[in-house]
Amino acid sequence: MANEVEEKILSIFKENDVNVSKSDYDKPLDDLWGVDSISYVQILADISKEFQFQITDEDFILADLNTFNGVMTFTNAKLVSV
Amino acid sequence: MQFSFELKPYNDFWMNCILNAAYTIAVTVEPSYKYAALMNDYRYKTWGAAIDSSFITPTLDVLDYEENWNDFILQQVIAKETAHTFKDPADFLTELKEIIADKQIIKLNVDLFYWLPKNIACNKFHMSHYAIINGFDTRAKMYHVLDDDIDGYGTHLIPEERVVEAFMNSGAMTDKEFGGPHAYIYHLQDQIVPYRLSLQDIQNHAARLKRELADFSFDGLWDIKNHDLFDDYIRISLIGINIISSRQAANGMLIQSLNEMDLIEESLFQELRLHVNKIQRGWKSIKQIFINKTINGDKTLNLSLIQSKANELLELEMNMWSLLVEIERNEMIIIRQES
Repeated sequence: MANEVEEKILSIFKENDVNVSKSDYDKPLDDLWGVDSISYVQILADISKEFQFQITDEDFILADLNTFNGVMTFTNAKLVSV
Repeated sequence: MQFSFELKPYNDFWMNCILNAAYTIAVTVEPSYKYAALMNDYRYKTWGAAIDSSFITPTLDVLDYEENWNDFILQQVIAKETAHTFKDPADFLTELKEIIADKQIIKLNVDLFYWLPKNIACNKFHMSHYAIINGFDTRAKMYHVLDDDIDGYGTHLIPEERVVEAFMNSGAMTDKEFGGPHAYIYHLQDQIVPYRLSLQDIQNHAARLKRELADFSFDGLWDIKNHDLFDDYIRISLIGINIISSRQAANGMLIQSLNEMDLIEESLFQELRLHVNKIQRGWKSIKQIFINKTINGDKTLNLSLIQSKANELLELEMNMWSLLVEIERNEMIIIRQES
């Protein structure tokens, strides 16, 4: 299940023209080629739509959404709470 | 392409279209002015939206450049801008090309509705502003432009018909109340002195910011009452949030420069860096909330959370500037103790 989530998130990044390799998982997403403020939020929106959860205003302020690993952890936590 | 002046767009951070254009010219002519752009000579302010003056959003503005150019840093590079009216507006391209061929740097009034595809106003709302046009290709009927869109301030090639449409629909051409000319021409100083970053100037502004931030608050701002216009209010809010967020990137670069030039001790640099990183992350998260509303169609805003976060960032910024102001105070204490 965890691998499926990781693969799906990777493919969502790829659909938004951002290729993420394992060595990028802890890098700030801002530093990845193809990520700007809009594509970053679009990727998160696509993830939330794919896994059918909502990203709230609080999530942007409080959650660690700055790295690929952070996004995966966040997504897994949302899936558990749904 | 025939250029008046080959300009390298200033894109270290975004201030606004006027300042990024001015710094583009200044930094191309004399690269030391890239440090002038980082100066903390700004002030937080609020503005009412054009569509609804009761909707108040925050932004910040650089001091002097609008009302007091002679006191502004870049006066040392750009002596003045003169208003220009085309002799025959219906055939403005002929005169525009003559001005460019004459090596003059011109900025043209255009309606952003028709201008750059990735500008937030394009095909969405009408807004007049001035864009530098510094080159043309007669055979290809293309114009070389410097302007900003969602990717920042950069260069663009615009087809002639779009230049015509954007100018013909600009405020200068269509609105008697507009008050601005068809174009402005920049005039550079004959002699340009290189810029030197001054710790004293930065401290003076830090002391000013510390006072001003103590009286500023985000309470009551971004308060959307008319949800029919929710998307417009979000876009308007993003303009100011983007400016504030960009300025925090500049503050990071300023602190880095102070360290590289050995103007501050390493321990102070590390402390300032901690502060500015937190402030940058905080404003980024606020910006992401607003961008998210434009993407997911959600028409609710957790206003108290956002206002509270913004006020927390204000306090962090105040503390950050206090650290710089304190250097002088601590040095005076040491001098008094030694004497």
